[in-house]
Formats: sequence, structure tokens, C-alpha cells
Amino acid sequence: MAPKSRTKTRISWFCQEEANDQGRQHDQGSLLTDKMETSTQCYVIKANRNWLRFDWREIWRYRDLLFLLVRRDFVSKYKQTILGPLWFVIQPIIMTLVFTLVFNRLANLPTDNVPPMLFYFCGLLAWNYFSQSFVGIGSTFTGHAHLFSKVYFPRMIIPLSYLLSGLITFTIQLVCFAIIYVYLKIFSGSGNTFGITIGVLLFPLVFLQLSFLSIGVGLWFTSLTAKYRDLVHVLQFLTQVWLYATPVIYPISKIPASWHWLVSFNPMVSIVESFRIMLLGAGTLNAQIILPSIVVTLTVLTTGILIFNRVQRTFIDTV
Amino acid sequence: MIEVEGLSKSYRFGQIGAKTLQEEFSNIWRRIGFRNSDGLDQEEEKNRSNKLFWALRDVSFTLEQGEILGLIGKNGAGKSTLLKILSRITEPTQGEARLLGRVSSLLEVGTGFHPDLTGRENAYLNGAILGMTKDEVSRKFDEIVEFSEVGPFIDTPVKRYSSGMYVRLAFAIAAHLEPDILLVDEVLAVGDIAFQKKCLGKIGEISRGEGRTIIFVSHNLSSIKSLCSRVLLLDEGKLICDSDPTKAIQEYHNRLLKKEGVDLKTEGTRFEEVYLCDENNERLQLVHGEKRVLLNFEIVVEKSNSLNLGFTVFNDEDIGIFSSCALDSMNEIPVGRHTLQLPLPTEILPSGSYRVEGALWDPYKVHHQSDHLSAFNVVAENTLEIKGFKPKGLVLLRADWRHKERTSG
Repeated sequence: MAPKSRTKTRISWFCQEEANDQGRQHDQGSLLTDKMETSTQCYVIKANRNWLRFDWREIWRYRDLLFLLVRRDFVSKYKQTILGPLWFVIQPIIMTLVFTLVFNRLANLPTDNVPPMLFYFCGLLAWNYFSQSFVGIGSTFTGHAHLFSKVYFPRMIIPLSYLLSGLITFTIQLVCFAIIYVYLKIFSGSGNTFGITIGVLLFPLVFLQLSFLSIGVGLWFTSLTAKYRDLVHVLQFLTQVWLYATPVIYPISKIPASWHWLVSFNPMVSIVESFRIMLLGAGTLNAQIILPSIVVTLTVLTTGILIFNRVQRTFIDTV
Repeated sequence: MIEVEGLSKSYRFGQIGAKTLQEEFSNIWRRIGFRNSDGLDQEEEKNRSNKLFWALRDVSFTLEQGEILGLIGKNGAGKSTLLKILSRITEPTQGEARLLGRVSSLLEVGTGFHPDLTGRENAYLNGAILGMTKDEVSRKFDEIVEFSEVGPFIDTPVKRYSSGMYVRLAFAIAAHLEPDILLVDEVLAVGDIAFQKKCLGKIGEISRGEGRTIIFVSHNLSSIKSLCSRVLLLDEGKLICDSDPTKAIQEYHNRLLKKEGVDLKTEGTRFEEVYLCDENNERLQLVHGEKRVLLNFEIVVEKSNSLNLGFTVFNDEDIGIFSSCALDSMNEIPVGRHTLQLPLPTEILPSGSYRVEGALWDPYKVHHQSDHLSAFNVVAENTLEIKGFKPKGLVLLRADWRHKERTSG
């Protein structure tokens, strides 16, 4: 027992975390150790540490890395391409044209009386951001195994960098959407069938939910692939199926109301529909769809962070 | 400063990471509380612990600020595992470690380099990955470029770099890290030798000048010897020896030789043992400034019929340094068990590891031949090696330099 108590006292001046473990009864002491934490960094490496702990301050310290990774992502994707960043808008425009041709003209799916171009583009705005972030974040472990095996930095930086890259793409596509919107509003005969609604004030909230969902699902996925490699093959396939389960190419009004309770568990349903209501004033939404969507999103996010945090600690042993 | 207490790390044998689903379910089953009969459970526990492999077992040490610690040991001894735990790449299974100060680890140079980015962009990215802030890289940028010698190409994508330039830039960034604690793996094993030495020198300089704590893993015993103030020897995950470099390296060689063994014959005309000793007949595995070193061949001779003994000492690059034959100076090797002894001029050998290859033969037959009769290490004292450089010559010229006035006109 004697040697143990010796080390304890030694640790208490050494590190804040240990002081906390001993109990927080002495407040003055913790003030002192707090100061120490800011002046010099101190790490305690321990077996089986509490996996609910999450060090957000550390992510802040690594913010430069976050931005440099986003930059790397951006630059490397478009270096040595002729059209460069134009690819950001070419992809959704072509998708929109294909959707218009196939689903509107050939399959005669309605678009809530909104010009099909805008209808599909609006859905794709939300969807592209989601799928790009999801696929990126979903490959955090498998795609960075080498990096993770060679150097430490908060692993959460990688998912966050994908989210930020997605944000850039989203912004560019949003501008493109605005241009088409203005053009159709002025020059087409159907200019009065759509318009931004006051709901657009809630746009930041809906966008936040979309980001939470992307990162939550992505973290779940990458944590599972770290252990079960089979899931790598599921990723592409899953996003495709998910696209069809989401009202991107059809309006929610096509779904019978008696089924709404079921689709509401797919948070993308209310998000995509919210986008259309806010930006185009067309769509159907009610609390029955929105509430489960928010609950599912927050659950996926918190559990996703927890499981990611658990897996990242020893991921490298399984590579 | 670093405190390590009872650090252990275990891996599971077999297909790592791929726990079977069945196992997974039975785990969950157990956790929920549906236990099988106790006896069965115990047996299962036993099976599970049998499948564990301890890469690191109960390692403890304390390192004060400014110390340079070398880690040596064979492959798989646990050096890299220890470094990975300390640099927080993976977590220990048991025990803990406390590190006070900013930690940077250098397990590889050029981690995260992207071929499409320019040297400048990669310098910033790599610096950030290693834990520097953007401002820090900016402050050091000119120094980094100068050190890396890639000057005019700094705004060229690194995929157009020669491999030498690539490594130099990567090294230069790493060499300009300013952590309180630096963990270095065998990164210095790549790149051209001259530049490696420059980096080694820089690391030594940094720690001596600014009181950095460094943990350094290397197979290059001479750089360990010249850089480190203290050495830990690991074997099969356990800490064997924690002492000054000379003693630890000596111990390392004792163990290495014991394990490798010499392919000795048990009958006929043969070598029994080959070793170095000093003039007091003390056996040596590490030669460090001994004045007179003797090489001993303990042999058994059954027929003396023009029998000859020859040997060559090779350095670690497999270049032969000394060769000699017994009959060069003897008339014959008599029958019986005895020791042939000759002085070995080890004072001219640069630091490094050496092995002895030799044979016993007569005009009709080779009786015994082995390319690993013995091995030894040399730590040489000379002004080049103290700074971490390796002399280009195979041997050192131990000469008296004189100074002579020159009269002009």
C-alpha cells in the first residue's frame, strides 16, 4: 500500500486529471491545476480510460490542421483538372437535367407544380451535402489508417474536415441554385409558382440538423467499418438506396399520409422537404414528420460520437 | 518529463481485429448476465488469456527533462509499441504514463504529404499534422527551406521531387519541431546518409542546447551511443536493462549472441568457441578504447596434416576488413584442444558492429566453416563520430598529426 500512496501524491501535482479522480473536495487545488493545464500541456496515458470523456479543447488547439486538411482536400481534388472547381456545379446540374428528363418527362412524376429544374436542384443541394459528408466521414478509419498509425492528433479532426469541405461545396452549389432561381423567376412563365418563404429564417437550424445527421451517421459507419470491413462495400450502395428513400426525385405528397409515420424515421425526409418549403414554398410537412426526425438525428449524433471515441482509441491495433 | 508505470500492451493472437460474430454475441450474452455454468466460463477465460500476446509487459521508468533516452532491442522487442503508446497512437492494456510538456512524435517522415501539393503547402500541412500551429511553421519556414536544400522547388508539387528532395524536405520540417518531448522512431533509416547525419546532429544539438527530452529508437548502435545519455534495453516486451549506453549495448550483445548461437560442430576438427578478450583475459563483446584486444579461436584438431585456420572480420555493410591465416606465421597447428590467439588492431575500426567469418581446412578438405563464428561491437573515439557522422573510410587512420612551419620564399 505504501508505494501506491507515494505515487498518488506525486501524480496530484503532476496532473489535473488525477487530482479530479481523487475527488473534488478541495476547490483551491483544482484552481491551481487548472492554471497549470493552460501553461503547459500534460497528458495522462492510461488503460481503459473513461470513454465518455471528450476533449473539445484539444480540437480547438488543432484548428490549423483542420483548415489545412480542408484546403488539401479542395486543392488536391481540382489540381490538374481543366475545369477545376467548375466540377462543383457541373455534377448537380447534370444530375438535375437527368432527373428532369427521366423522372419528370418520362416517368411523369409530379414536382409540386414547381419548375422541375428547381425542384430537383433544391433536393440535390441537401442530398449532395449529406452524401458527400457521409461517404467522406464513413471512410475516416479505412482511408486514414496509415496516417493514424504514424501520428497522433484528435481523430475527430478528419470527420470535421470532411464536413467543412462539404460546406464549401454546398455554398458554391447554393450560389448556382440562386442563379437558376433568379433566371427562372424573371424569364420563365412559371415565375409565380414558386418563391422563398419566411421559413427561410429557420434555414440555419435545418442546415445544422443536416450537418449533425451527416456526421452522426458517418461516425457510426466508420466505427463499424473499423471492425467489420465488409461494410466498406455497403457504403456506396447504401447512399444510393437512401437517395431513393428520400423525397429528392419525388415530392412527399406522393407518399400516402398513412405511411408518413414510417418515412419520418428517415431524418432526410423532413430536411429535404424543409429545404423546398423554405426556398421554393412548395412541400408538405407536419410535426408528425419533423419531431421524429429531430429525435433520430440527435440520437445518431450523440451515439455516433461516443462509439467513434471508443473505437479510435485502439483502432490502430486492428489494422 | 515522463513517468511510466507498469505499462503493458497485449494483442490477441490469430486474425487480429476480426473477432468472430459468435464470440461477439457470446460476450454480449455474458455481459447481460446469462452465464453458462461457471466451470465452462473459467475454461473460456483461460483460452482467451492464452491467445494474448504481450508486446509490452510491465515497463516502468522515469525520465527527467533534458535526458536523451535510447531504446534498443531486437525486432519485436516492444520498442515501437512503447513509442506508439507514448505518442498516443494506441492505448495501453494496463498501466499508465504521464507526460508533462508538448509531445511530438516522429515515427515516419513526411506523414500526410500529398503529391499534388507544393513543397510549401506540404510543409504547412505536415507541420500541422506533427502538432505545429500555422504561425510556428511560418516563423520557421525560411529555416526549413534552407535546411532542406530544395530552395527553388518549394512551390513545385512534391510529386515532381526526386526521392532525395522529398525526404530532405520531410526531414527538415521534422527537425524544426519544438516540442518539450520528442519521440523518434527509426526514421533516420531512410534518405541519403549525409543528410541523415545532418538531422541526427540537429536533434542532438536541440536537446543539448534547449533541454528537450528525447526518446530515440534505433538499430544503429553507434548513433545511440553518441546521442543518448541513457539506454533502455527491451526484450520480448520486458525491460531488461536501464543504464548508461555502454552497459546496455554490452548487455544487448550478450543476449543477441546467446540467442543467435554459432553453428558449431560437435566432432571432428572444429572451432569450439571464438571470442574477443582484453589483455587480462576478460571477454569482450563491446570494444571501447581497449588498448590491446585479442581474438581467440578455441579449436579441436584431430589431424594436423597442413591444417590451416583463416578468418575475415566483416563490418555491418558486409565489407571485409581484416583477413589472416594461421600458417602465415606458424609452421603447423598441432593436434589437440587449444587456443589460437592473435592481437586484433581494433583501434583502427570505426564504430559499428562486426562479425568474424572463418574456416579450418587442409588441402583435401574443409573441416569446419562458419560465417558467424563471433560478433562484436566497436565504439570508437574520434572527432567525427562524436558529432554523429560516420567516417567515409573503412578504417580509421590512427596517426600523429604534426604541425610544421612553412617558410615562404
